[in-house]
Amino acid sequence: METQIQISPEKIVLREDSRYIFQPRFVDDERTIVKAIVLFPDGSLREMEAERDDADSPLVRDVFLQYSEAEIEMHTHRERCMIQKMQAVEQRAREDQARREQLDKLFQAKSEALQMEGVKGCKDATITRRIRSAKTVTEVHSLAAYALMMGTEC
Amino acid sequence: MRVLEKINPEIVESLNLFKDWVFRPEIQESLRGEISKNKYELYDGGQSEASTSLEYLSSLDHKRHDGYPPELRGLDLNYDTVKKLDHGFDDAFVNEIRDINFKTDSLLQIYLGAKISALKAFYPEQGYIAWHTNWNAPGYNIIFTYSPTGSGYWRHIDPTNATSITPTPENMVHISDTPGWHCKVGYFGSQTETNKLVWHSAYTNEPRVTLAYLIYEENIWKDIVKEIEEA
Repeated sequence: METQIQISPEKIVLREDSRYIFQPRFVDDERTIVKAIVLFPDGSLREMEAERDDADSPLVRDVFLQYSEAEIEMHTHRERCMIQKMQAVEQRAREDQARREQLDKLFQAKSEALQMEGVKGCKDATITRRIRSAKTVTEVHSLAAYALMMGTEC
Repeated sequence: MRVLEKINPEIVESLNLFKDWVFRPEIQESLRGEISKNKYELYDGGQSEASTSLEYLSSLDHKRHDGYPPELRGLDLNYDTVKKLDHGFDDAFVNEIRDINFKTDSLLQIYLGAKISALKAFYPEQGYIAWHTNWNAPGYNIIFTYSPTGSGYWRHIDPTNATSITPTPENMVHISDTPGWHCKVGYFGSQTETNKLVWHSAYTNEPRVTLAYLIYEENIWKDIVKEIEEA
């Protein structure tokens, strides 16, 4: 005979072999896979998932014993919002990194070009100024090549 | 340090992009909200200008100074600083700060050929940055400051012939802000470059904006200075 343990009236009903379930949510849009954090008797927490239709899964059984469909939907929505936020943060971090690298490369190219003897000695100051304020590495290289060519022709 | 009062219009246009954003009413509300949350000992004690006094400078432990200002009543809106200091700004506002940083630097930092955007500061009325050296980040500086009517100032200690890190009060130089934008250019030395070590501070009676760029290459810096001077 199964003993039922009442944890929170009307909400969480545990069977003797049940585990405490936290943050149950659906993983997919079709609501076929359910995922949750499970508290084991030794105190450890583990994230587990199972197919909703798996009649033999203790996880599925415990999730639906302890939570209503609406509560699972609420956790699902919360997690999706969190994932979206994290993805946005990661995307921004990637963009920031790419931008930093691009600026570093551009500065490096300008610095190297302006230190070249043929460029440093260029009689046309507008060329070196355009190298300094160039927006791309290609522009820097083109202007440096032009400055060198001018030097050769002189 | 040299002061350049006329600035190339192309540079001013880029500077105005940032300044106009800072002075937008909704941005001011967020910035002032953040500033009012923080505790500023000198301001709270009615001593804002003490931060730029020679007494304050003398009272500092010069040897243990880390290069940063001991106190600042204002905000550095450089995106990396905002991220690092984790102000109480919400995500949307941090994104606004990110956008305006990118827009400004895409124009200004690239145009100048500067390696680093060192500062994008907003100071409210009675705002200040206390005496410091930046000796943790030595290099050639281009510092642009906007003041609506010029009611503020910059002070530095001229380090020429200095043989120790201790500033000489008699060598203090006081530079009043001018209405609109002006620019200060100079080299800020490291702890070992005593004759190039620039103790400096600033104070303002009115809202003030400062953008500073750090340039490691002397030839690039000289070219920028020359171009600004030609304005």
